Amino acid sequence: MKKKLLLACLILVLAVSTGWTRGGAEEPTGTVYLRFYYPVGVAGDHARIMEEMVRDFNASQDDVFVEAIFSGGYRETMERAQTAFLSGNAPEVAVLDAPATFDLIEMGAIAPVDDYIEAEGGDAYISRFLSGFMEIARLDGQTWSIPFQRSTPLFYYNKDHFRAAGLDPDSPPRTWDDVYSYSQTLAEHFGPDHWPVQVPINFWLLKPIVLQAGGQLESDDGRSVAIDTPEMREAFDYLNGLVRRGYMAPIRQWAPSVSDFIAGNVTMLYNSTGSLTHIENSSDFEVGTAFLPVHRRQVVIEGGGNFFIFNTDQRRQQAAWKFITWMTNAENAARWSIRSGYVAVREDSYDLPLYREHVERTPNAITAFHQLQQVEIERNFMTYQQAQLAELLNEMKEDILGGADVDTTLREAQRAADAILARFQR
Amino acid sequence: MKFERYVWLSYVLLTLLAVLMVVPLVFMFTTSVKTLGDILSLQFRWVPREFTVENFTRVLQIMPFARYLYNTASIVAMTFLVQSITISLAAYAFARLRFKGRDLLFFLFLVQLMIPATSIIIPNYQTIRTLGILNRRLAVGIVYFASAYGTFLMRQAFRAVPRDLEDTAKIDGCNGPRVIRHVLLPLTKPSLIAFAFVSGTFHWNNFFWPLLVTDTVRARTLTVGLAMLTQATESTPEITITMAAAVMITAPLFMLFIVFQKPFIESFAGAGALKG
Repeated sequence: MKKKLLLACLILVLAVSTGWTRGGAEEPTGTVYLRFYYPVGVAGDHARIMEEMVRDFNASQDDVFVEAIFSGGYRETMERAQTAFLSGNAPEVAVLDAPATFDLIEMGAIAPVDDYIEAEGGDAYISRFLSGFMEIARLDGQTWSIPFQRSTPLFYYNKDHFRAAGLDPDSPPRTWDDVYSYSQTLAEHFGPDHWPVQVPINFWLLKPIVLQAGGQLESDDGRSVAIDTPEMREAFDYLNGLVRRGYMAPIRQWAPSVSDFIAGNVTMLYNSTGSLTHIENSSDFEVGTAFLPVHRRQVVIEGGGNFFIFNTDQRRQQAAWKFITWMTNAENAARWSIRSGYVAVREDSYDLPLYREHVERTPNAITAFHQLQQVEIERNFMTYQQAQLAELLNEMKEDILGGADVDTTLREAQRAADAILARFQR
Repeated sequence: MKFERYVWLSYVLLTLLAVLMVVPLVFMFTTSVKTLGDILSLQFRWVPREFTVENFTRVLQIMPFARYLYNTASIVAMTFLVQSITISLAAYAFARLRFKGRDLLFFLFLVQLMIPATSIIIPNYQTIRTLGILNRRLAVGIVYFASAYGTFLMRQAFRAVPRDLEDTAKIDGCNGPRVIRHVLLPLTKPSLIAFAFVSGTFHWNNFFWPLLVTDTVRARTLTVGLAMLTQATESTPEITITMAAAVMITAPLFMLFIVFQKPFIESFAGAGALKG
């Protein structure tokens, strides 16, 4: 009796599971069905904005139907896309952290987009994207992605503090030396329990400082990283000097540094354009924004996510391209930028009335655009095994600012980085 | 007893530990009802200056909470129900049946405790895909339907039950499965409840696997919803909203614990369960 029941259960389970096998996504006839993985990189109802835009795209035409699939942060989205790809179930299109490009190419996961750009008008089309954002997409003469949710480091300062300390609120520091002299003035005025400046622990803020000192961090081919260099030492001289003179708290992570600034404990802050909305909404003083202070070279880097097309078939790749061009047309790039806080990726977005009004409401929103136009832009930190190396740089920065010996720490970090990249040497 | 004089010391220690456990929870709760300005002000307060429920309404705007709660609860319940069948059957085999290679098999069974789940994510994903159950709640639970830990726990519990009880039942005409259901399981209930808590909390909190095999709200869990709030690496996480979501997500677990507190604590006194 019991055995029969068990058998019946087993049969039922098998029947149901085979039934499911036949199920799956139904493709409406003629319409290409695309799965689109996207990460959430900024606070707020980001996912909702994204889904709204995708819905509008689906409603705007009948050829392509996109399903927007939230996939965690940048890291989880990459891991998810990797797993799905390796299991033969890759999404057709995804927004991923742009520095993942090397790893994606190595896996054979993504398709170059040059042919599509050509069909769209070639240079005439692609030159409408801010050129600073395109560099990271181009490797070995091919284009691998289209910029979408981009950011740059930005310098924030408290105008009320500037006024109180007798500094001109409209002339923020432009060089490292300025940062020192401004900090001195601020320190004299505000005394202890106040930090004039903060550069939170993050590789993304370390790279521009190394570049400004005239150095390079990683090679163009992403196969080597130069850590134990004179320019890296100079970068740490700058940062350590601020700490030693009591101008900067030694170890401060990303999120608390923003809170410190909003609370008025810090006057000048290195951070991302992505934090602008949050800072403006939460602070009860006048917020100023400026380019990152520079040194030998006037240079800054960029960051954020790009659209990638996965290797599937011609029909689906073409459909993915159609979706991407829609999401990044002037109007949608502006709309995405205004609602999410990312920098709009196209020059023609900035001429739209919609965007002009936005800049009138929040004048600080245009600073990043000016920085991208007036300062040299290098690509985000991009290597093979990028996530691992970024973590290594973060730890190194934390160790050194925490008081570890610079020479030893740099030497050890260099050795560790070489070991991580050993299998990529040709 | 010499030690009885020092009982107060253990109370002091326990109180300290209890405070240590409770402080983050209190912090989570008070943060969830604070305004952003309150959080960022220089002066730290336990009691918010302004009490607000706006954070909670914002969470409801950002994620489909009810649906995620339903998904999570049903995955947790389904997984535990299937597990309780598989582990009690397996535990019975390892505890009572005699067959060749039993101990080796049991040892191998325990070895899988040492394999990190992340290392077999890709083969598991492939299996789920071949079964065609991606983006279904079943996909989240199915890979956990057998449990080495649970089998081990129940085997130990079964072994503690005197064989005489089983023999009596057999004389009365009980066969294998009925012995498990009517004799062994009622006597080892505390162990099963302890396992329910372990399994329940694990699946309630599980993040990466559900994220991987689900695409849409249809099958997604609370933890995936929480990630919409916590991954603001390019800007700044909104702490008050994140904490409000954390309160909403952990509250059902707390309530379950309060309801099942007594049997749960008894489960730790498992050895005494048979004496009384």
